[in-house]
Amino acid sequence: MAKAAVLHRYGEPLTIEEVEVASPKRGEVRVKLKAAGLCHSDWHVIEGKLPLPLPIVLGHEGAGIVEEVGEGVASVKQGDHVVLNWVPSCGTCSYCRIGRPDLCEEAARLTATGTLPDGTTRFSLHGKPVYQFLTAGAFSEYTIVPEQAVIPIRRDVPFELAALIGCSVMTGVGAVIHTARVPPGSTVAVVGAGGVGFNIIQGAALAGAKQIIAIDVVEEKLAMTKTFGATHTVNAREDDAVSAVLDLTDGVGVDYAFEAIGRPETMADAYNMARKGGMTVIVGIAAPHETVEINAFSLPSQSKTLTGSWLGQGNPPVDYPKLLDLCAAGRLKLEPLISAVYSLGQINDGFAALKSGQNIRGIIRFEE
Amino acid sequence: MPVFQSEQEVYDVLGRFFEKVAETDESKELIASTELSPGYDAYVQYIFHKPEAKITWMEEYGKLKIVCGETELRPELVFEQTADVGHKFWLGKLDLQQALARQQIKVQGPLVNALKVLPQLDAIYPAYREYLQEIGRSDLLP
Repeated sequence: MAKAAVLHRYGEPLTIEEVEVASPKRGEVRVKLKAAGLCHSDWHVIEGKLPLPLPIVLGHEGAGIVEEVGEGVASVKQGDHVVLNWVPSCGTCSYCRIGRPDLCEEAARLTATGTLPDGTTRFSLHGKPVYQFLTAGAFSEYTIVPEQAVIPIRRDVPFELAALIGCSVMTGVGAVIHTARVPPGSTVAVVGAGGVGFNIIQGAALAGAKQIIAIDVVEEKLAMTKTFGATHTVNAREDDAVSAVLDLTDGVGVDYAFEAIGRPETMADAYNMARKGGMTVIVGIAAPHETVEINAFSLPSQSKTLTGSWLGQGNPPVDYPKLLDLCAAGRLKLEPLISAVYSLGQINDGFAALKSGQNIRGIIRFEE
Repeated sequence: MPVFQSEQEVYDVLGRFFEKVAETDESKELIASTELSPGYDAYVQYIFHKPEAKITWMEEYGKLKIVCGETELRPELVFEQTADVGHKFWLGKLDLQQALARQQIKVQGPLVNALKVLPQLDAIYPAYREYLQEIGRSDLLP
């Protein structure tokens, strides 16, 4: 049994319930969660923007301790500290073979099923299955995930910080390092100063960008971006973001623009503020039915690269330990990203704060 | 900080400037040589954001008439932009092609009609600067 936050109906609050947690099968791992971040993707499910089978245990940005391993598990053992990997790549599909585990076909299938690879779930309530978001189901005291969904980590990083690596840090820093490959001296704009946006900003600083323009509508967040490496800020509630970026770049636009909100309008803005021949990376996740409108003539005439980044194009077994090393070395700031810590019972307060935009990242800390 | 602080200020500055433009011989010639397509009763409408405002150019007794605010008129050509971008455009500080490509200005209708008069705007840009000085709004000059 485990206490978990369950979504029964779209648009309704999560309810805290005792769910049954089955034993790990072959190739599976039981994790005792210590911390889990509240991410916009979880909120999208609650809103009904990402349709998944219900009831479901949400949460995917998590860290904890391995409690039990199923038969055949070799990469982790009981007692290991781990970060959950919500893109548990299969290693055999065409994308895995070309070195793009972020695009793994099997992991993509699991994002829509709410199950483990065998099509079942290890959570149940009154004998009926309870699904687990992105294989993780991190808003539960315990979860069972495939071996590929746990990445062993160093023990000296607090779980609250380690959890962030599993989504917002990998997504933000990875979009800069892996997707855009921002070279030193570049100009960068980041639309959206949330958990991911802040990590794009510090990723760009890490890469040596000379100008980093942070764009948001919350003045307090904008002020804070300066401590993460932003050189300029634009309040999009007051100023037109595209015009402001053009003004700050002598009318040229930026080399690299990142969108970290997930709204069609801000995606178009990010495209429009990149210089000719520049690159726009879409990181924010919109609802599946939404479309972006961009100027057709600009496609050939401005010859920009418009691309996306899923989990920062990361390779979690390799990247998570590296990111934690950077965190331990003080090169990545994670602590200031945590705006509020909640108990599992306060999870709906956390989502209310996320919805209002007041948190950079809210974290669930599981009680001992 | 937006250039214009209120809808009324957009009308007081850009609206009044357009009225001045409407009095010029060039605009009278333009009216004489332009025919609206069936179903339309106004030439151009500027939709501004930040602040929200609307200015429509129509014809009345052979002259250009400027209508500020909401209207039932059906313009053939619609330009949508922020008021800041509009201000920049009339100062001659905006490359139209670039602004369209970046969606700083969105257009509905036959853009070709507007492109025809683009060369004549070169004479109007300085007029807007002069007008701002005339009305004591040189604070709006870059």
